[in-house]
Amino acid sequence: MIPGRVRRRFRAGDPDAVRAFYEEFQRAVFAVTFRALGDRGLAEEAVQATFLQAWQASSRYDPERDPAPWLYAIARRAAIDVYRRERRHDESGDQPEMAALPETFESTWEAWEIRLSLDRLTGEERAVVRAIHFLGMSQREAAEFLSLPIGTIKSRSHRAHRRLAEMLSHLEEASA
Amino acid sequence: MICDDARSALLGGEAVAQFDAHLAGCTDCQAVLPELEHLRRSLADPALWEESSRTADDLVAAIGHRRHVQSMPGSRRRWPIGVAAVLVFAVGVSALAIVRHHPADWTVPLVGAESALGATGSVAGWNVDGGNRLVLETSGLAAAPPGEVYELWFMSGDEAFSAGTFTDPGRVQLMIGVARREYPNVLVTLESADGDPAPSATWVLWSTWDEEGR
Repeated sequence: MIPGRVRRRFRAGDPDAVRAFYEEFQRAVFAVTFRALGDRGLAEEAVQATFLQAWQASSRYDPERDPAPWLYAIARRAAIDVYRRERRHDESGDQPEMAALPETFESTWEAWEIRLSLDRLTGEERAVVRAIHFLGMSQREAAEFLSLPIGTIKSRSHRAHRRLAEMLSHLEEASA
Repeated sequence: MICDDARSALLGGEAVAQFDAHLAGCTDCQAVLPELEHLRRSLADPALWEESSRTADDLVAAIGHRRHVQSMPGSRRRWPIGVAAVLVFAVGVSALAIVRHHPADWTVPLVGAESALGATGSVAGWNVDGGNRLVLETSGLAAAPPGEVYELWFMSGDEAFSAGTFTDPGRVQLMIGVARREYPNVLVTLESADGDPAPSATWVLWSTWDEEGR
């Protein structure tokens, strides 16, 4: 969570406050741009553009409000700009501004929410979730991989997934 | 309580036999089962786990460069367009006298900025009365997209002076009505037709930045 004094410094354009915003949100911004664009290099470019644009627009940011939705909107827009620029280069005869965005852009909010929720887990919990989902390991394989007793893996996995289910329940309800 | 445990187990992909009876009778859990399964699949998405190789230091460095060209109070930031146009025209007329094959009085190498990392270029200048005749040559830079133009800027600290716009970046001749020594840094941006007189955030080429050149 970004403290209020850092938010106010961000609004004043303080680069150190921008750094704090970057540390807090860059993984979620990257999740949005990578899911949307499907290309690491382009996603990294869009991440940089997101925070530069946020810094340039910082005087319009209200420090009393949670910056997350505001940053998400900038990140999605930055990804759209990169997508349309690449499309222009690939298909110069088209009208890129009129072209529909690919389906990958439809799930960027979900990626943003999930990544923010993962960031709220402890590092130990996140390591277990990563091993199970991203690396595709069983709990026993995760125990070996992380050099932890299987009981520890089970309890961390249970706690982490319970917290994730709670934090992401609004996504479940929205789709139910 | 058992709902939370059952959902946690489902999301974690654990064997849920112990919750079968509960799930069979709990309409709340049944309602969220499809979305929990969707979430479980989403958690495997590399986009959620990979991280950008760029660091906060990269960002702060980029901001440091931008600070010199952002909208800053002060009347010297940019000359009025009308005055600039008259100067450019005047210098252009006098520049016709330059012998074509004279070596340039100065040359500034340019390197690709973040929007065109593979591009390179140089800008050569011939001193003329009231300014400089310029030849900008670039490599690895595509033609400007429809509705956008490249713009060449001469910079001194946070002051930016436009030398003109162009769309085909191969070899461009421009004029500028200021002395090179007063504006030591050179920048090429990609500009949209947004009416903003300041350099855009899309930098494509820049010179070795002279922070002392204010």
